[in-house]
This record gives sequence, structure tokens and C-alpha cells, in this order.
Amino acid sequence: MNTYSMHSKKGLSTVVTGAIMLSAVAVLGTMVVAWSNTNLFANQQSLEASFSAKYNKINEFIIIENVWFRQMPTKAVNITINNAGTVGLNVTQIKLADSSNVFTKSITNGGIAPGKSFDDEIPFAWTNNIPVDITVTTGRGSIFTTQELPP
Amino acid sequence: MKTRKGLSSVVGTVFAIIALASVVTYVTYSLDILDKFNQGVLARNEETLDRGKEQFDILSATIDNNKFNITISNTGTLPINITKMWVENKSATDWVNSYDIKKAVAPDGILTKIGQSSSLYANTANAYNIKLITERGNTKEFSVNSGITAPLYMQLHAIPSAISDEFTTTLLFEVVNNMSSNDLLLNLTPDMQYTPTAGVTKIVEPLSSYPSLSKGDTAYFKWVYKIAGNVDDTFTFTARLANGYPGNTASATVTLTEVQFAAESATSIQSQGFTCCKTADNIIVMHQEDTVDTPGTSYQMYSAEVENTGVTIDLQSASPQIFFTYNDTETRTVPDGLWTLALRYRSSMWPDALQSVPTLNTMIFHFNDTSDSSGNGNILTLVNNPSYSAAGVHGNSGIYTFDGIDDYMTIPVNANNDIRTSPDSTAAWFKTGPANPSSDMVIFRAERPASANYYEIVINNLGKLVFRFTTDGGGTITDCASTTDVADGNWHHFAAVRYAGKSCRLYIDAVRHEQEVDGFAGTPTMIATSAATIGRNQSGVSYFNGQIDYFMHWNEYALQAIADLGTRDEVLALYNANYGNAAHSVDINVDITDKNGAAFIPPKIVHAKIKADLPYSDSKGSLTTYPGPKNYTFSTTPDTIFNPQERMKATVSWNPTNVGAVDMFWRIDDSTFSDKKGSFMQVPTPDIGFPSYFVYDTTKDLIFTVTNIGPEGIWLTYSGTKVIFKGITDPLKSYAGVLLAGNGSSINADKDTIYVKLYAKIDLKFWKPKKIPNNSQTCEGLGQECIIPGLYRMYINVIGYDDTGLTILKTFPIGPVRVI
Repeated sequence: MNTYSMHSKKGLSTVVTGAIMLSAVAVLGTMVVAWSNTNLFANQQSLEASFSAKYNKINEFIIIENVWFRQMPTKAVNITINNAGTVGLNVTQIKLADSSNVFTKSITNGGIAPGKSFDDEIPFAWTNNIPVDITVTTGRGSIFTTQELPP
Repeated sequence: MKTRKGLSSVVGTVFAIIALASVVTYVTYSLDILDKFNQGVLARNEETLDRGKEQFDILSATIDNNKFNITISNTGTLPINITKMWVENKSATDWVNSYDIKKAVAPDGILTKIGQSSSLYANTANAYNIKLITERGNTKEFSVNSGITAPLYMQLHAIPSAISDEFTTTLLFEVVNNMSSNDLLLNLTPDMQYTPTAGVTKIVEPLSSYPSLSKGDTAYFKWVYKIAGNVDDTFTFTARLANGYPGNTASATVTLTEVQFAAESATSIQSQGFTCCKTADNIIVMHQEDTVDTPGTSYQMYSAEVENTGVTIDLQSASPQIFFTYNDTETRTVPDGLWTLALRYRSSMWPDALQSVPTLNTMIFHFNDTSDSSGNGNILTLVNNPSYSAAGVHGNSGIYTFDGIDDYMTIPVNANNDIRTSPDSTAAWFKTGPANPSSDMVIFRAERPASANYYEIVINNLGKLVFRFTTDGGGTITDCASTTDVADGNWHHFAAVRYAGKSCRLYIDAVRHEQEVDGFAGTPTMIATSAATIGRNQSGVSYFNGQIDYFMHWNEYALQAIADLGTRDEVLALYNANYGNAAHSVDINVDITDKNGAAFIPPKIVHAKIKADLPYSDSKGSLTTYPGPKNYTFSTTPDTIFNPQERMKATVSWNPTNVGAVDMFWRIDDSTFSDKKGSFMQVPTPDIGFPSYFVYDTTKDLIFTVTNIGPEGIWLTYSGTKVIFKGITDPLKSYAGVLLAGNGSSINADKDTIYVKLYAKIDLKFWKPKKIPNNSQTCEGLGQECIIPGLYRMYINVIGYDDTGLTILKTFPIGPVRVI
């Protein structure tokens, strides 16, 4: 008899304990998986952003295909930029410099699709036979330079 | 319990698998991203490499039907896609446009008619800058119609710049693409303007345009104009490129002169310095330069005129003397025929055995003429024409024949013949006419009538030669007579010596016949006052019948003979001396040697002669005069072949036959010689001239010196003054160089040389000889091809004008020269 009584108390405790353990495992498992997914997703986002930035920057290539020096009515430099790369790019700045002048122009509408060109005229007091350095900066930070000699 | 624990494990495992799967997925994703990145980098690198491999050239660019017609060649290894053409009209302000092309060309292919389908209307009167763009971003820029983006180097040459009325002049317009950019200039079109226009007629005009001019290249345009006008009229020609750079022009002036031919100018110039004038190929002149490109210390020998200060060779003291031609890579053939060794020298007055005999107070008559060969200026006066003939006692030494009737000679009395104090000596060769003269025949006599003193050599009626004199009016007559009959119709030599006041010795044919001693008191003096005579006495009798040669008299010297206690056998030397065809005896050898001057085994002998005779060369006592060349001639057969690297060696060695040898002083390379040859070897004309010793080192300046020998001062002009190298090694390669400077002052089309005064020299320095002569020392690039090493025939052509306005023209043939 005594044995029966004892068996009845031990069975209740086991069920409660098992439920607790099962719950604990489920909660902990859920927490670990949730944390893991959150963390991995964040890293994936970061990786994707980094890849995109680097990859696109590498594939950025422009040619300053023509520069001519306007004389009238005021001196200016006309620049034609061609996107010879495989990705679209955004020209954000063009800088002109010779031995006596430096002029930097910010570009707000400088988006160029691959294979397309962009023209701009920049007021600049160039001097005959004094070379002008031309620096083009893109939104991704790529810098392209060339030098032209005014007539 | 076991069942519940297993359930928890299962749940945990499921969660673990989920976590692990997430990690694996992330890693896989990361690797994929990296791979994409790598692919992107590789593709980018490939594009960069392809861009570098892309190459194309502009073959032509013209304007056809008012459209550009451009042809390009793909010279790279990748296909090229021309996407766009930028055009800038340089004849307008701010006119720039672009046109889509979008034409591809395969490697090694040609793409034509670029621009023909564009909407651009191109005007042939305008200048354009054109830029072609490829898909990969490469560009090629060039100009059409002019090099307008920068001034070009231009020169205009008027050749000649001074002409006569109705004569033609050539205008040569030179354009060099010296722009700092790499622009290709296409369709250069020249434009010539001139003022005044009246009188100028165009005879020849250049091509309408020059198709293509790369950086560093030179374009030439030539016009020929005939000009009419008055003397001193000037015409200014100005050349430019159509639509060229503003102000980029070149000018030249042409002046009309009276002078139509250079020959009308009496002023002339001569070359000077090592680069002197060429002689004919068969004249090989002996030069004084030694140890320079010659074996040992031998001299140079080549076909160029004498040009140096000259060297005198005492052959008796310095023997042998050797001359070499230069060696080069050509084979020369000297045909069979006569060779002549022509030597310029002066002969000694007498043999070296008489080296102590003074020349002062002396008379020497070789009877080749009437002048004194001692240098003391005595002159024979021929009375009743003693006859002259060249058949002297020793060859063509010259003799006079006296007829025994009225022929004689006189010599003004002076310190050379007045028998004042002893000693005295007289010597001569003689040959009598009749075997037995009826009375005395005087060979030589001096006298002082007032005191009845005399000094004479006679042939007496016994046929004996008698030498006698008195200084006391006949109180003592000292006489020495030959012991044999010398009036035998043969040549005999006598030496009569008054070795003391009243003592004599007589030598016949170098043998003493008599010695007489009439006392040694004092030095009795005669001092003749009458002119000395040869052939009779002063009284007009005792004419000599026969011939006399080599007459010599020493007024204050006693000839010596060792047998008579002398220290030198001067009498014997005089007897042996030859002043005719065989005055000198030398060995003459002409050989072929290797380039080092070494003889071959067996030797290649052209000519060898031991004891060759050379004739007497009478300088009349001068130690600085070298009469015209004396010739030694020999013949060769068959042809003489000089193989590559071989030299001709000429050797002259002193080899006397006896003690009477007369020394010779051989003169070479003296620029004062009027024939400009001096001593030389004349050979049958070779097929190729022997090489000169002139070597033009292309790493050094090419300088040529000329002297203005008058009668006017001169200038030399840039135009026409040239150095020319005509190829011998390769006859198809010839080069020329234009004038760079005169005496260090630069010369160009607008600037002639400095004024060269009469007898002044000017060093002419030339630019590097080139295939297309220009004023540049660079040898790189098209049109800059400089002379290459080899054997050439060199000429210097000099053009100028004198200060009376007449034209100077002169060509100096330098002969074969080596260019290294």
C-alpha cells in the first residue's frame, strides 16, 4: 500500500518536470534560432551593400571623349563624358585647374546610363597654350582625370 | 522519464538543425557574393587590357563631296567599333559637333568612308580637327587641311637666292610637324605669296597637298619661278599652309643681279686643312702625316692635294722612307701600264764629302743655264754664242761647246772669283776638240792687269793641262801641270788647288799629277780687277776649243785629298759626283702589303729597283726651294690587284754608288707648291680611287675649312653650300648635309656666313649628312635618315657672293672617304 502511495506522488512530479523541460527547450531553441537569423540577416544586408558598392565602383569607367574650349561670349570649357563602363553612374563633380585658376562645379543631374554621354559647359578663364587639368568625380567616389591644351 | 527526456532531445535537435542550416546558408551566400565580385574584377581587368590592345591608324582623310571621307586601319588585335566622330571647325569660332559613326572593323582590316554618311557639310576651304572615338573609349585625333593647333617649324629656301634677269629660282618650302601633341597632320596644302607680283612667272608648282605628316616628319614643297626685272630688284616669297596657324610663315628673298655665271666672279676660294682637295684617282700624293692610321712611323699616301706645312726629308740621313695608302673593304684594279714616282726635292750642291766646303765666295756653273748654282748670284755672259747641249758629261747635265775661234764667257769680277788671298781652288770637267792644240787654250783665267798678276788653267800646246798663277807680277810663277796629255778628245776632270800663297796641286781625274811649292811666306794677294773669263784670256786670245762642264771655283778654300794629308777626299768625291741623270742613287720598291703594312709570303711586289738613278735637282743655292718633280718611271704588267684591306707601300731608300753621292732633300706635303701635288705616285687610273685618310666620324662635327684667296671679300650662303657623300660601298645610298655654322656662328636660310676677308679662313660646320638634308642633328624618324658607315666619295659644294656682288661657286672633290 505504501508503495502505491509513493508511486502516485512521483508520477505527478515527473509530468510537471517534463513539461517544464520541454518548454524550456522550446523557448531556448526558439530564442537561439531567432537570434541566429536576425544576426545572419544583418550580416547579409551588410555584405550585399558592400558588394554592390565595390562591384559597381570597379565597373565604373568613363572617358572624357571631347573637350573644347569656348571663346565666345566668355571663355568656357565644354566637356563631353561618355560612360564606357557596364553600370550606370552619377557624375557629381567636375574640377578644372590650370597654372593660375581652379574651378570646381558640383553636378546635380549627372546620371549617365552605360553607353550614354553627358555634356556640360563650365565657365573657366583658360589661357592659350596653358594646359588645363580636368578631374571628374562620380557618386561612388571614382575619379577620372585628363589634360587638354587650349588653342 | 526516459520517454519525456527523448522528446526534449528531439525538440533541441530540431532547433540545432535549424540554426546550423541558417549558418550554412549564410556561408554559401557569402561565397557566392565573393565569386561574383571576383568575376567582376576579372571582367574589368580584361576590359582594361582590351582597351590597351586597341590600335588604329588614320590612312587618309579627305573631303569628298563636302563630306569627310576618312579611312582607318585596325592595326591592333581586337575588333574596333568606331562609335563617334567629333569635328571642330578651326576656321570658325566655337564650332564643335559630334556625329555617330557606329562602324566596326576587324583586326588588320580597313574601314573606309567614315563621315560620308554624316550630316556634316564640310568645306574644303576650312581647317578641321577631328577625333574618332571607339567603343572602348580610345580616341585618335588628327587635323585636316592644316596643322593649325600650333605653329609648325617652317623654312623657305630660294636656290639660288641671287639670279639674273629671266633666270629661274627654286623655292623649297620645308614643313616639320614638331607639335608637342601627337596630332597627325593631313592634307597639308601649301600657299605661296610673293611681292611684287610683276615679273614673277610660275614654272613649276608643287603637289596640291601633302597627304599625311606624322609627328617629327618633314614635308617639302617645291616651286620654280622665272623672274624678270632690273638689277637689284628684290622679290620676297612667303610660304604658309592653307588655313595654317596664324602667323606661321616662312620667307625668302630673291635678288636680281648682273651676274649670271659664277665664272664671272674673279674671287675664288680654296680649301685648307686636312680635308683638302681631291686629285685625280691616278695621282696618289705623299703626305706628311705619319703614325696616323699608318703602320709604324710611315707616311700617308692618298689622292688629295698637298695641304700641310711640308716636311723636308734628308734622304741620306733618314732612310728608308715609306708611304702607305689606306686600306678599306674595296677591291681595286690598277691596269697594266706606266707608273711614275714623281719626287720633289733639291739636290745638295756637292757630295757630302765636301760638307765642310764653304758656299761663301764660290761659283758653281753646271752649265744647264748661265746662272750660278751656289746661290752667290754670279751670271755667265756668253760671248759669240758658245753652243749649249744637254749631253753633258753625266747625262743631261748640260754643257757648253767652245769653237776655239771666238766663243767665250765672262763673269763679273767679285769676291767669288778675284783670287785675293790663298787658298783658292778650281775644278771642272773638260774635253778638248783637236788632239793637238797649236797654242794655249784657256779654260779659266782671272787677272789684275795693272800688276801683271793672274790665275789661270790652260791646255798648252803639248796637250797638258797647266794650272799657274803669279802674285808678284811674274816674279814667281807657280805652276802645276798634268803629267799626261789630256787633249785627247776625252772627258777629264781637273782640280787645281792653290793651297798656299805660292804653292799648287793639280789633280787630273782625282789623281795628283803635280805639286809645287814656291815658298810659304805671307799670303800673296792678287785681287783681280778684270772680269773672269772661261774659254779665253782677258787679252782676247787663247780661245778654248772643246767642251766644259761642272765648273766650280772656291775663292778662299783649298780642296783636300787624303793622300795629301787632307782629312777628306774631296777631290775624289768631286770627280765621282754626278749632277746629271744619275745624281742620286736610291732603291725604289712598290709592294702590296696587308692592312698592317706587313709583307705577304711570298711578297706581292709591284716593282723593285736597286740603285735607281734620280736626276740632279738644282735649287741654285737655296735651301728652301724644291724644283719641279723629278720622275722615276716603270711599267707593270699584268694588272695590279689590291684586295680588300690591302695597302700600297712605296719605299725609297738611300743607296749610293760611290763617295761622290750627292745628297737629296725631299720635300712632301707643302701647301705652297703651286701644282698642289709635290711628291706623288702616278699610276694607271684604277677602277676605284684609293681611299683617302679622311675619316668622317659621324659622332663628331663635320668641319671644312676654306680660305678666301681673293681678290675680293666674300660671304658664303646657307642655300647651296652642301657637303655631299656619294655612295661607293652602296652606290644607291647618297647623303648631303647643309650648312650649320661658319666660324662658330650659326647659319640658316635667313643668315649667311660672316664676312670673310681676303686671305681669311672660315671653318664651315655642317649638319649631319642625311638622305633628306635638313638642319637637325637627330637621326630618328621618317625623313631623318642619317648617313651610315661605309665608303663614300665626298664633295664640298660652296656657294656665296663677293663684296662686288658676284657669285662664287666652287666644288671641292675630297675623294673617297670612310664614314664611321
